[in-house]
Amino acid sequence: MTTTEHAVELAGLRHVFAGRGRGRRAVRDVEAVANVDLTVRPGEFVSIVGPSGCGKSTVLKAIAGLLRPTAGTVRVWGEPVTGPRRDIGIALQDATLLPWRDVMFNCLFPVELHGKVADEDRERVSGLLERAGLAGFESRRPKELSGGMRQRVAICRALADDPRLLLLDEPFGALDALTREQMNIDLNRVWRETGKTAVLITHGIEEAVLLSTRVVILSERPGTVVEVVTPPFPRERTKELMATPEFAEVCGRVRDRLFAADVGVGG
Amino acid sequence: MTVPPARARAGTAAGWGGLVVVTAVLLAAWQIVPSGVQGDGSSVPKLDATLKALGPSGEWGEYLKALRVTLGEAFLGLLIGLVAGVVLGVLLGESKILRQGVYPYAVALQALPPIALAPIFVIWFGFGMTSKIGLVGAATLFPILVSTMAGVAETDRNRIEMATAFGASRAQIRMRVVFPGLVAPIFSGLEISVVLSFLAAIAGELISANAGVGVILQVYQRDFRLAEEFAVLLILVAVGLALASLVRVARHFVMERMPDE
Amino acid sequence: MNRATAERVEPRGPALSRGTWRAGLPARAAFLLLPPVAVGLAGVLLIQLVISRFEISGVVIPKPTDVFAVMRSDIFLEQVGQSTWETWKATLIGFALGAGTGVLLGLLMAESRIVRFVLYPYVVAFQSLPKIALAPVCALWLGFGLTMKFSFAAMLAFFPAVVATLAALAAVPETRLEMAAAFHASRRQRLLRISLPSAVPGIVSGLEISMAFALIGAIVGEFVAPSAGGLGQLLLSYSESINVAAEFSVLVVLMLLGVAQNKILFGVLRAGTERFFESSR
Repeated sequence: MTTTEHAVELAGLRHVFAGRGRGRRAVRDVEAVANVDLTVRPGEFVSIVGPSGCGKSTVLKAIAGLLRPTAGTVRVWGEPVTGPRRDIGIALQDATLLPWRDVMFNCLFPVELHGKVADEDRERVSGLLERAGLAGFESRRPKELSGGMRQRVAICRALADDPRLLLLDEPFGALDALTREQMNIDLNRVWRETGKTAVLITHGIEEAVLLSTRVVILSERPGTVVEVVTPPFPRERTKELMATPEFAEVCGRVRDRLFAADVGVGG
Repeated sequence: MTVPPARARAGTAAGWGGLVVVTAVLLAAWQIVPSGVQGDGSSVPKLDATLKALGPSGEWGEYLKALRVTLGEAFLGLLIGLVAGVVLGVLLGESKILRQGVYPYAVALQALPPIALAPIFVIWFGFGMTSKIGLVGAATLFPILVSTMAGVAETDRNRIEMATAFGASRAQIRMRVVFPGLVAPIFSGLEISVVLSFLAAIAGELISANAGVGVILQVYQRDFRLAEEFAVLLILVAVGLALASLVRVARHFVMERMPDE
Repeated sequence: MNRATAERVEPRGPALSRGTWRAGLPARAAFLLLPPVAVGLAGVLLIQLVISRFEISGVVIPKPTDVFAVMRSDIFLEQVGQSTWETWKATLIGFALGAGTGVLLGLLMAESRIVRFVLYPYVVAFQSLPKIALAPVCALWLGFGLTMKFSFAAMLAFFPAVVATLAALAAVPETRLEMAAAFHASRRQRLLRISLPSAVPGIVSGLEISMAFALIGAIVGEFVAPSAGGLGQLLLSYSESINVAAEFSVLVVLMLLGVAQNKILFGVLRAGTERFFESSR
């Protein structure tokens, strides 16, 4: 891997959801994303924030190969995306754990899709679960876990097949504020220790600033990049950091841009 | 790309083409394969014979007379089943002790194939319409009873609390909170019961009756008049479809006029 | 964005109402059994008293004591044992054939939209036909024996299985399929590892209806086919000799059979699959 190779490269990304039907019950075409240019370098943690419905998830799905954009190019590790790739791990807002599998087998799901599960896969997953604070829960079923634990399992699953790129679509969106903060600290540690590249979709400003090396702000629908903020913090992020004036200052900047984008397009 | 196959819409050219081809093949096979020999034990009437029996020269007098009897039985029986089911359902739903006491029996009686009651109803009410009306009533009672009872018992506690908080009396709660919420469960019971009513009426007639669809089906079978037999079956498909849409329209009509739910 | 799926995230205490009740098992069983037993005894007693008091003919309603007497007699037990097995054999064969092909067709229709589009009108048309009306034709084609009985039972068991399988596969949570797609699952893997396990509870509750219909089919087959034997023929023969007490006894047996297969057998199956696969509905 050369340093000039980007993990993700989006150029002129545009996506329109086709309407359907005719007459009164017709659904009009919706332009979700207008024109997004974005590069993510290896090892970065990039957050994409923006108002509700600005097409954040569309961007992520285009990177994941779950949706073919109307226009523009998507490259992952230099290759054009034509469909889901094996070297991408993804976690969504809904943990979507399979209720009939225990924690270990849920995590091994992506591995077993691509061949037999080896001992080293189990060991890797055990390591991930341990780092996520889930040691001892390997044989529990999802319904025995709390919401926060399920999301941690989903993130371990995303990392289980040792992907080079981690995609997270509001993985903590449904959690309460306290749990969410703890999860963020845990996620930061996992990211540092595994050295993955990560893209996070969120509408939590603090969350984005706390976790990211760069925060990308999208405008209201149709989404475009209005600004990129680079939080000037070391890779290790702590709860204490959140109490500092510097942290508040960066969050304030993101918030101002977000509101400007919101009002600017909406008004 | 990710559209799961189970949910894709399929009004495509290939879909319509396939439908037309399959239908054409089925109709052609229906015309060509059967021997057309009446009285041949395995015989199926040819398509043209069936269509003729369905056409203006068919025995529409017979068909309609039989249908009138059967639908009459189904309707009157359903009425009995509906009224009895709703009344008993409300009573049982309101009293927890009664519900606990009676519920196992209601479940057990529901597990009894209602058709099996036909011979008894014949002994009680004879070969005429009355025995079939009774059978239909017994068959349609339980789905309505069970869903009404569940509807009363499961009325949203929050709504009752809300109404109580605003000082509603028990009677007011019943009239304005519990009963309006019953329309949906009663209709879902009714949906099952309408199908059952038609089915039970025909089944009763198959066992012993002097008129109705079940009777002419057996007469045509005995006389090897299979074209007429098939014509009646096709008419039954149409009537079944009509009954199902009738319930759907009625449900829509009533639900549109409900304040909420 | 899946706002609607958010609410399922926090853990629900499993069966809180049952868990909070700390009484011992015998006390709980007594509390649950008391009302039904009391209602049953009171009902039987009331019927018995009313019949004796008003001298109602045994043809109208047999005395409960007469029904018990019939059910204890050796002749009845022998006849009913034989007939019950004949009826249930036809029910089981019919269920296996009808529900098996029904689930397969449902799968095929769910997986291929062409097949679904082409077959849908036929399924709807057949579903709205009161299939009991086919009994005379079936007897004509298949004779008056076991073949006709189980074929008819199979036909009745078929449609609920098709409809339930289709519905269950259509109700597989979109997010699970999307998750599998994101991990690069093949179509086959998606069907075998996501859709089918997710649909199991729905299919099982459809099979419960199939089984109930198979029993109805077997009974109706016996009503229509004079040499088919079974509980249906037993009912008819008691009916001809106006032995109402014996008819009631057969009905009780039939009810117990229905409870055993529809409620107990499938109750256990459904509870088990719902626990393991967790119904998504």
